[in-house]
Amino acid sequence: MKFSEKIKSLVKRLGSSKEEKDMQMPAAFQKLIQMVENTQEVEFSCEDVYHILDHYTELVYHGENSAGLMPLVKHHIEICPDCREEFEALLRILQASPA
Amino acid sequence: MPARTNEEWIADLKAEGAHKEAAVGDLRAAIISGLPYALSNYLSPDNPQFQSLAEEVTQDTLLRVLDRLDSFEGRSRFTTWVQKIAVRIALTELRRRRWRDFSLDSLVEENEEGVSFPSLMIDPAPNPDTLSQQSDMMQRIGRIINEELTEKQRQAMVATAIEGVPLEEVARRMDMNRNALYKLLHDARLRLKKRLANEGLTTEDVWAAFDGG
Repeated sequence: MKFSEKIKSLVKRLGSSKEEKDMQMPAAFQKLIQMVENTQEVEFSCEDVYHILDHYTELVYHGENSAGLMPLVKHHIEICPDCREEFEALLRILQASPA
Repeated sequence: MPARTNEEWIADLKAEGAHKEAAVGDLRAAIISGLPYALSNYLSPDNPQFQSLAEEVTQDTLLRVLDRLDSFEGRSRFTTWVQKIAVRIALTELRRRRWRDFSLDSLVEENEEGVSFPSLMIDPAPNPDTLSQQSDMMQRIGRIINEELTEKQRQAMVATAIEGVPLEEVARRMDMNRNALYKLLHDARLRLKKRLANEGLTTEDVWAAFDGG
């Protein structure tokens, strides 16, 4: 089973039997391990991402292959909660006020 | 609001007189209209704080945009570039307000064995076998974290990854900027990843300890 599928199955178990609940990995610990696993040798910094966030967000908004075109931005956004929040906020603005 | 091309925005904002005034007014309106959507996950427009925050953000954004017009590279629509700046200013201020009372010291517990981070500890489970298996894995990972990371890296990692404190706020308390903190965390994650690999410990092993094998 893939790592991401493991996470999903663990999360799904929340609310199931008491015995199974006892087997849960603490969510915070789970998150930490996941972040370590997803770490790449070369990653964009917050500044790198901020520099092109407007362009990247427009690509996402227009349904372009943003992950293929800018994989390092996508990866950073998955790891960095601050940049992810800013991306999502900008995307909401674009979605609310289309060109 | 008249539709402007990127070039027209730049030209009007660099002009003097009526053209500039109209462009600044239109830009102000564009920023204000986007903020309810940008902040929808954090602050309702009905919240008394919203109006003052929106005014502050709009004013700061306009100043920053006018100051940095020449840095616009035309990769996006001009208004998207401006909204990006507004979002950064707004969320930075919101984070500052929300985490005002947070202290990094609250994450650390000092005992006979030295410094530890309670949030990395496992919750007690009633099944002794499960607890033992999980506890062994937690201790092993905890030992690796202690051996591989500096105290600063541990503190930053616990605050951001486990406690959910924004990088911006952790960085402020560590007297560094967010970019530098990200790099510090990246280095920490890389060290842990390599050490886990050196120990032959896969994420599957970690999951197995918590998944009953």
